[in-house]
Amino acid sequence: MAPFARRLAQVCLSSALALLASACGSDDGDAPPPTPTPVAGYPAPWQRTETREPCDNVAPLRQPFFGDLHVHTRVSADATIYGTKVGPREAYAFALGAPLALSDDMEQPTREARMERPLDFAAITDHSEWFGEVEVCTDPTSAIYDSQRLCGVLRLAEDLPAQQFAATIQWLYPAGIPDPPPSLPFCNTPGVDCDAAAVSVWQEMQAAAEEVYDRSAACGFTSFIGYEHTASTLGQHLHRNVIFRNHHVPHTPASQLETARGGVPQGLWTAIETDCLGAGDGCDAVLIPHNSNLSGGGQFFTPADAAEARRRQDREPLAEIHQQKGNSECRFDRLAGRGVLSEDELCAFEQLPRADEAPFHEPPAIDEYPARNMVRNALKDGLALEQTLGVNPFQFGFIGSTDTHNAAPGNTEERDWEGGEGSQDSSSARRIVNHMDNNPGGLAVVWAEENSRDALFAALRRRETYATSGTRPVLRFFAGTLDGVTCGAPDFLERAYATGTPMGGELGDERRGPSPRFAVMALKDPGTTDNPGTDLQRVQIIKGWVDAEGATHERVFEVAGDPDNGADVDPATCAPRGTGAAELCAVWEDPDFDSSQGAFYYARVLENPICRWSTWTCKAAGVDPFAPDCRAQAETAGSEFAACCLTRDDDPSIQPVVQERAWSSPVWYRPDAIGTLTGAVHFGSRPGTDRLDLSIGLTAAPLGRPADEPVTIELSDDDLIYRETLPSSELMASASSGVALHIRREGLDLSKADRVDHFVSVQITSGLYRATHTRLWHATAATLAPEAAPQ
Amino acid sequence: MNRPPALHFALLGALLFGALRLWPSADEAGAREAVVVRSAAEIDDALLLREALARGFDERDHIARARLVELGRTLRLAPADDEVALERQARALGLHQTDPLLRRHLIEMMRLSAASPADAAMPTDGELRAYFAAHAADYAQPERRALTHLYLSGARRGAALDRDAAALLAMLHAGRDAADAAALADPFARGSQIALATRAQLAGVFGPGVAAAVFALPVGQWSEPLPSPYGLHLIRVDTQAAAGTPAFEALRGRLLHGWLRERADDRLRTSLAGLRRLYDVRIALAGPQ
Repeated sequence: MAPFARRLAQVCLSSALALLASACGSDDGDAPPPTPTPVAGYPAPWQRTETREPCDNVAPLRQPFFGDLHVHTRVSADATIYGTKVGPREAYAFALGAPLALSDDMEQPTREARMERPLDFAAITDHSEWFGEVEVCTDPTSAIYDSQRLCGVLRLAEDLPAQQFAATIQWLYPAGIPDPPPSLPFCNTPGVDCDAAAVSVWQEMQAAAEEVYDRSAACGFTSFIGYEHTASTLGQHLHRNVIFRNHHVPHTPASQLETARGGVPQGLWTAIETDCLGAGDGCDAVLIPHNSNLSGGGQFFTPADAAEARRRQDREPLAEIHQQKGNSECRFDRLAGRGVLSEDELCAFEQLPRADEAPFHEPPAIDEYPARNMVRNALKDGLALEQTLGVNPFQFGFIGSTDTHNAAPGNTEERDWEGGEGSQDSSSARRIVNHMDNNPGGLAVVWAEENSRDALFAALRRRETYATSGTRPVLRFFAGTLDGVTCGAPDFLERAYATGTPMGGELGDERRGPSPRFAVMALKDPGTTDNPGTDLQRVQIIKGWVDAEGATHERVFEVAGDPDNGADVDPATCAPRGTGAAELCAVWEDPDFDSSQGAFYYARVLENPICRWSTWTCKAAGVDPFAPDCRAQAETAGSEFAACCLTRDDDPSIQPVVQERAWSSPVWYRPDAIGTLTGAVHFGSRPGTDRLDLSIGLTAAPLGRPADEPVTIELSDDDLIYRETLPSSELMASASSGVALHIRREGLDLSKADRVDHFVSVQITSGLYRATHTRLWHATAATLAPEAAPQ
Repeated sequence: MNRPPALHFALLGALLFGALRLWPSADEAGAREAVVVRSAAEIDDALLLREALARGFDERDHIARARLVELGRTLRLAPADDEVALERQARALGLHQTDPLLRRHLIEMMRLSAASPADAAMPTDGELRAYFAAHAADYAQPERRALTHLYLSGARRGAALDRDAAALLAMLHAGRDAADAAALADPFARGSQIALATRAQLAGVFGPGVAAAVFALPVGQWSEPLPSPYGLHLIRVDTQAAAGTPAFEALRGRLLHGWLRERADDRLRTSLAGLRRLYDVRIALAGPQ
């Protein structure tokens, strides 16, 4: 197709995606663009940025949605190498329960996978690097098709196994070159429109997402448009997934080739700020780094200053902490008996041996392992950096996902796992010899009112998410005064949202006693008829804090369940043995709480043990990891199965049984966050006669702001209700009562505030200081107010 | 990446064996060219590959040629620095047709070419509605139910679970307001009301047993205590939405892209049908798999 015709087609496609009338040659006129659908019913605390029917299934106190935000199809060069022949369309169909063809040893699609339970949402995140050049390289009518050297790298990339890795490095990791070109040299050849070529692959992905996104009132499934930004400087895995809020996406996805000059990840941040956030068309995106366990300590780098720390917080509110290529929560070496700044033995879970992806680096000993490869250490360091910089750069929530290269989103079942890397995992032998350290991956779980893009995306932004290691337990976590919140209170959820923050939020010094209260509620995965869920074993709360000297600490508290319940598996059948809990609940206080020390808390729930995927695979191949003569069986089955016999005694991490788990996003305690909030919106009888009466208390002076910086206060739900900027002197400090801000204003128009019980946020900003307080406010005929303290 | 070297050479062996099987038979020269496949499933890829080769993609493609040189070098078909001879010898062995890398690349190139629409026409409203009518079943949605439930937690109530559930149900039957009764129930992590949800979605909440029971309940009446993995639930179906198909406007985006995709698939099918007429396809059943 001639370049002009191709460009026309792409313009038409993007018009189609925006559901606008097109000027592209339709004969009898198109319908006028649909007007945004008016919101009915519950006033959600986020903007609606798209056209769709309102969802029927709305839960004001939120419900969990399960998804996968990290999926590769044949559009990704490395998936193609591994024989994956299906594209985004098939991947979405699999997420919805359709069977999917998988590559066999000979890269033919003769295997099949199918999930028992569909996902609620998914994003296809193929590697954006040279999207366009892939098409150019495969289009024989293209002017440069015959002459390019670099297109050949792709074609060579499926070379003999010994060269695959090097070729993959060349294809996907151009930043390993000291000075990568901003675009491929042949893109400057006359007649070659690389942008047009790049757009078409990207357009195909957008089209696949639109084709499956349920905009009807049933809200059955949400697709997100996204991609993976692939930066691997010097073998450090610094990849991030870009997830867009809606169909307003940049014309070309910013890949590492374009952004490398701006630094990793600052170049990408700038591109997203310019091409998306600043585009003025409703574009919004979050960046989600993953595999910090392979980043050689580089993923969570110390920012240059407070501004960069704030920037990171805003661009990267989440991290993917569990996926096929291992777990990044924390690390413990069973054989050494030590962890990476941790003594938490449960951190010997799905750990990859190496610390980065440089082929010439050996896996480091535990004492040499880069601490910030593990997110718990990054979170602790974030608290320390907050003290020195004034802003915490590492204030991120958790998700899990798969990183499947089979185009199989959510395919996380341990039993009968088909692998995740195409032909590299296409048989039992290959899975064991190539990817014993891998695992089926995790899931992203989002607490949102409804299954729509705006609702789910708002939850990603506010970090009300949790990660699982592949199963579907339900996990709630709240922190605050939690007045009236007990495990027996039928109005537990209303009270928790009214008097505390859910996971992902922050907390100032608000408490009734020596410590704030923390509430955890967990339900086991209900499972299916054929595969019942595993009982829960216990719930822990993990605390990290920084002391007055700037040193960080961590401690794991057992808060519910029984770590010594003796549950295990029947070695003959892998059936679970022993009992656990279907439900666990606790309301807990920190015995060591020190209101002067910044801290984070997150909940971790563990299931009873089950057989690891490798145990199922090995047993099916006739090698029983539990058998005393396992090694003899392995010798009979083939040398590929030697790793089947790894046990606790000879591997730092791998063992035949595992405990699946879920991790809530943390809640951060900040002495300088909003501690007390009292007052109300008073609605007057006539427009313009509303009153605002707010008193805000902070225990410590705000960090990150010059002393005379003005203070802005904002009150918002889905709209901005009220904003005012005050001189710094209004932020009153007194030795006895901390720092306070009082607002009493009359004659206002506060009509933007909805007049039903709903979430309202108060935010204070001053310089780089920012504190946010979001609670369920109560409405009466004349007022809207946060819950008052009990008398 | 701990692949044993034996596999490396086994792969090369397979390539060579494959080369001997797919070489077109000499006695077909002059007639339609024969394409031999091992199974019907491989026909399309084989035709796309053959057409790509017929169009000389492997000779025009710089990289295909470099790949052949590489293979020739590995197999020592000629002196290592004589690229012309290496490529020629690799072709003589048929590796331009059998190398898995090259095959898939050529197939994909040809597929993209074959599926590309000749014009950029978008569907009219009428065409979209016709598409919708023809594919309504694809967008059909199952029956949904909305419910309120009172939850009694097995973990909290232990041995008293059945007794407590029966007592609560008795209260409801005696006319006690649901809100009052809720004060005697336990908190459920997913809330006490589930808005319109499918049976599969309810199975995700309560497990498959309760989901099935809910879809057998009459609307507006409290159920007997229904057992979930968590405890017992007294459930009242509040509303139900029949199975059906969403309105056209709600589906417009999905329909448009389905229409476009269908056109691309049609065009690909037409191209493949044309290719089947061009070549003489044979399915060979003999030989090791």
